[in-house]
Amino acid sequence: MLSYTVYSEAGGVGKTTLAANLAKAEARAGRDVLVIDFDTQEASLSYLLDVDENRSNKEADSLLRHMIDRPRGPFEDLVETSEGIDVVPAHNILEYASKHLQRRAEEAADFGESFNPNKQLLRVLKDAGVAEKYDTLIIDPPASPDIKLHNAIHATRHLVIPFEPSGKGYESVQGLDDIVAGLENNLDIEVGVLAIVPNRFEGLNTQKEFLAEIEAEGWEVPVTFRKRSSLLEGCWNEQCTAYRYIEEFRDRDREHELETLEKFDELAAYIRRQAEVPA
Amino acid sequence: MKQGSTDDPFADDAETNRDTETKPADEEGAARSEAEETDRSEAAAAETAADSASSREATATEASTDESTDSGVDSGSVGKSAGRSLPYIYKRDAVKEGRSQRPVYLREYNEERIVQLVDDVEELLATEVTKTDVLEAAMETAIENPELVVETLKTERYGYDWE
Repeated sequence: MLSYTVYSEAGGVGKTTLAANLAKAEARAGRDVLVIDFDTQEASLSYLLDVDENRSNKEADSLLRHMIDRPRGPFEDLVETSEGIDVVPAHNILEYASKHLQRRAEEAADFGESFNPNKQLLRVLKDAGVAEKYDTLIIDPPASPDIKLHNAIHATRHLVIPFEPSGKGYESVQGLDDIVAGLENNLDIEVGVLAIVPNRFEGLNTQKEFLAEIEAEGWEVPVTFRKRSSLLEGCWNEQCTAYRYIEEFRDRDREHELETLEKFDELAAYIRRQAEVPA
Repeated sequence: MKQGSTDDPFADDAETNRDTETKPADEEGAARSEAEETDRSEAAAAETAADSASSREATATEASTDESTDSGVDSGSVGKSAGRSLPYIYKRDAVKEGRSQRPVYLREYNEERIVQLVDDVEELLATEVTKTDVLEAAMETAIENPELVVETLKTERYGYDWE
């Protein structure tokens, strides 16, 4: 199973829209896709794909409950489907993931058991047979490094990093390198970067220089996305992927928007090829 | 963190379901206090955003503007600060908001060229732009560049320089 976390330390670089559209590209390629929404923001992937009706339902089961051994039902019942993509939606309880996981760890310690709060997502996914059922797993984590991100990276071992080609974006890739290095040490794992994806690229010279620097450091930049404000705004308004938005809500085809879809397909295919060849 | 693929976490059984390894105490402690810190700030954030209806609206706006604002401002902090001022196109709920309708008298050749202008602007900006925005911006550009207006008025299409 191909698995990766779409993460960027800088906010507002299109993390969630990238995750949703990569998932759609995977589904279009005939693959079974599962997306986990770990983002506590209300404008999250579950909202974008319109599967967030249980977000604030206290009676509802949630992925976090499974991670702390308090499930209310089978894992399969957590999964919602939208546009051919299986999604485990975010639930408001995720905001307290750290508290609940730490508490569970303390309880385990009291009974002489071991429970690493950063490794519970992988356990839940393995128990649920996710690797046997799906071809691709994509996780959309929160936009700040916390216990949910640790679990996401530990479970997927791979990152796709959207970033804005600017001084700040460049620093955020560097900052991410530090965070991940810490995680690799703490969790005893190795993390692979499948792609770095510049977003809102305008072709400015300074931006080209940043991309050159990123590539000079050995990171792969398979595609760049230009600013697509109206397309992405449309997706959030209609709650759908860019593919569906253009097909159903645009009265005429816009050349540059079709190019954007081709780039999502191209990026998804590139990521699949990366994962086939161990570096 | 390295470029490319690494091991498949779902492939091996070396990692047991219950993690049995023990970490050095100081490491564990550091990770824990860091996590608690995050949790506290998350809880605080959750409280302030208690009204879910308004917070939905706020975060939705935040998400779309984060995608699209391009004013060179730090988008990370813009999303969080409360009394920020957004550029016009992100603030309005409708294209006509804050605008008055004005009758403009145009000759046919210009009406045709406005369609072309909108297409050209969209191509250059690589995004969709409404005709209303293009028209007002065109007017604004002229207001700020009277010499260009004079040039146009001197052409045969107007003939102000005609002797």
